[in-house]
Amino acid sequence: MKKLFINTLLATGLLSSLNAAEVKIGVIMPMSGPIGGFGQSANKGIELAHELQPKLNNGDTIKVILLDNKSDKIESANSMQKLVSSDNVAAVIGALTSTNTMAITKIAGQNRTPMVAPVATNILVTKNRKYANRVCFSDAFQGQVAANFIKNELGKSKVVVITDVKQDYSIGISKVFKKSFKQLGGTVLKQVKITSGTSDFKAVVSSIKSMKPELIFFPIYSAEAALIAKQSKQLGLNVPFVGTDGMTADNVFFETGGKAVEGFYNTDLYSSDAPKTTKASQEFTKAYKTKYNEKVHPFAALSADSYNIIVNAMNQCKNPTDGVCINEKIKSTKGFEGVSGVISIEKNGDATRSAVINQIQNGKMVYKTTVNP
Amino acid sequence: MDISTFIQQLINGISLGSMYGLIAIGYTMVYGVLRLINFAHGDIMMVGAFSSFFGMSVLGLDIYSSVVFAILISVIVGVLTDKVAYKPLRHAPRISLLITAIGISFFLENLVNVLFGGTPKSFHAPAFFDQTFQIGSAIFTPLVFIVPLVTILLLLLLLTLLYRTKYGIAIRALAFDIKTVSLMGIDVNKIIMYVFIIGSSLAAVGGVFWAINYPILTPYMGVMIGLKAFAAAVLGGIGSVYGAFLGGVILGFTEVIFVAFFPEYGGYKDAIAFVFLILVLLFRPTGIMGINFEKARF
Repeated sequence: MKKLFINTLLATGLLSSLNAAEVKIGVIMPMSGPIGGFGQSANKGIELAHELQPKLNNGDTIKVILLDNKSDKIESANSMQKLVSSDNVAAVIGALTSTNTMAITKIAGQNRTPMVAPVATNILVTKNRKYANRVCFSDAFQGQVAANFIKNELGKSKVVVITDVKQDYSIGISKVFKKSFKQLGGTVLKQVKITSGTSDFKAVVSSIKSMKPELIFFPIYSAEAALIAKQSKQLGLNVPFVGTDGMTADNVFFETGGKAVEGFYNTDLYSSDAPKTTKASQEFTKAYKTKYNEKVHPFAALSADSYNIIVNAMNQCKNPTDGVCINEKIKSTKGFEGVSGVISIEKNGDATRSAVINQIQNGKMVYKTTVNP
Repeated sequence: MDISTFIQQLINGISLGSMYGLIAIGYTMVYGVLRLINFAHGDIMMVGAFSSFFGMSVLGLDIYSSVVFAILISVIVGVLTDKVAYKPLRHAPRISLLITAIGISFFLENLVNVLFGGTPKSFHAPAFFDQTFQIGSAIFTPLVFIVPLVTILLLLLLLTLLYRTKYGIAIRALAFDIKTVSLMGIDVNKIIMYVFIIGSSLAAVGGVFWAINYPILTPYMGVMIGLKAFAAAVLGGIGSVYGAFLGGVILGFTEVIFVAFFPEYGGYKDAIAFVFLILVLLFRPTGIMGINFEKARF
């Protein structure tokens, strides 16, 4: 019925003057719950991107429908179901992180609704899911970046890897890191395993100390990373640490780590201090400053890019609500100048993009360098 | 592994084990009296840690008054759970009591989750606890000495209470036979309340120690620690107070030594702790202190 209406409007040439057509983009974010902070930061990016680009090139208005998944995977699936069945959205941004995103990729495929995940880095997110795409790199790339940085930039070749055996994220990165680091001629003295949720790492740290590594690579989440940092300092293990984006994701890392995490490096998706290479990033940073009066949060930048890439794909489709076409166009994105840098999306839905490396100085992340794929 | 690393690991084990012991005492006492494995006990410890966090960050207390505050809140919560959830079930089958304890455990976790939010909280202990001393090549924090010392002191205090006071006699008598004791004119519910007060205060102290040592708090932190402390209590011989302490220290050592020798399997240290428990129980079903359940307790 709606299509008919649009067609009628087109036929009468009224569309450009009336702007009656509307394209819906669904957004699923953790706006409350344990990672509610992540979702709120991300949504700021989407709101601003929508303000900057509220219409398609053909004049259709874009409507953004935001649903809260309460940081939960079942709620994510429910939200997705609602978006595709009752709201009839053309595309979906969400559900931010890996676990929640993996709960909605199947529904996206069944309903041929393309989706773009802002920061779901798990290797499995896009695997065998034709309608799942992401603007971040996968964990495999992060492992390579870290291996390169440690061997070539820091010049360390004897490292210990700490893996959290409870998190797919940590296992995935560690695996790729070990392989890449060996190829570069480095030695992994030992892969030490921990489980998230425990807090006593003194025994682990003492053993690592006796192995005398030059550096420790630990792709684990904020809470355990902070505890390990603190206990390492207490036990006199004073070697450089390199972590990944999960390390700094939660502020508890800086609050608890305090002085113990000074000088730590991490690989990340985006840094607001990195040189602004694209026009979009300059404009966005300026607008973000005016609207929120703060630095661009990495999640906001990547969420804004998810929005921009969907809009870009819609612009290339004859019918901007055609899921199959939008999905195709998303997957053929090449050299897109986004807010967070230059992004290309592969046929499998994974993004090829640069990574940044930060160092912690005075309790803040300081941009070091950008690594291109 | 060289000798200095080994000594360092022993020290790591003592402080970890003492904390398990402190919490295990609460399990053992409640079990002795009510024959109830109080699964909410680990969560009482968590409540203690969060109360201390709340006292310091919101009420602006210093660390010492925050310990008192933590004990106060934990005792209130502990006694309330007894009055509200366990007391009406005194004559019900033990399994109902056990299920209630699990329910209370979930309730407390979710309550704290709602009150404080689910994100991990950072506990700011005074700088005093961050100092390190070096003796030989082994490195200590003050807590390495404070935790075992305080634990042993509290243990001695508790033993004096149990063996030298009338209340202690009442508690021990209760462990033998609740019915007979009540026939002799002792207010059973009041004595059980004292048991909960003692257990909860020890758990609160354990919680604050835990928070200082490992300064990240989550509402679910009590689950694993509680299970370990329970294992320690069983290992030492459930029902025995010094057995609980001993079990805690042994469990702490087992974990630390396992990780020390096999760091690449460190992720499975929890499993090893429980495998060790099973092995001990195969040879000594009543635990290390070997107390016969039907005859003597404490």
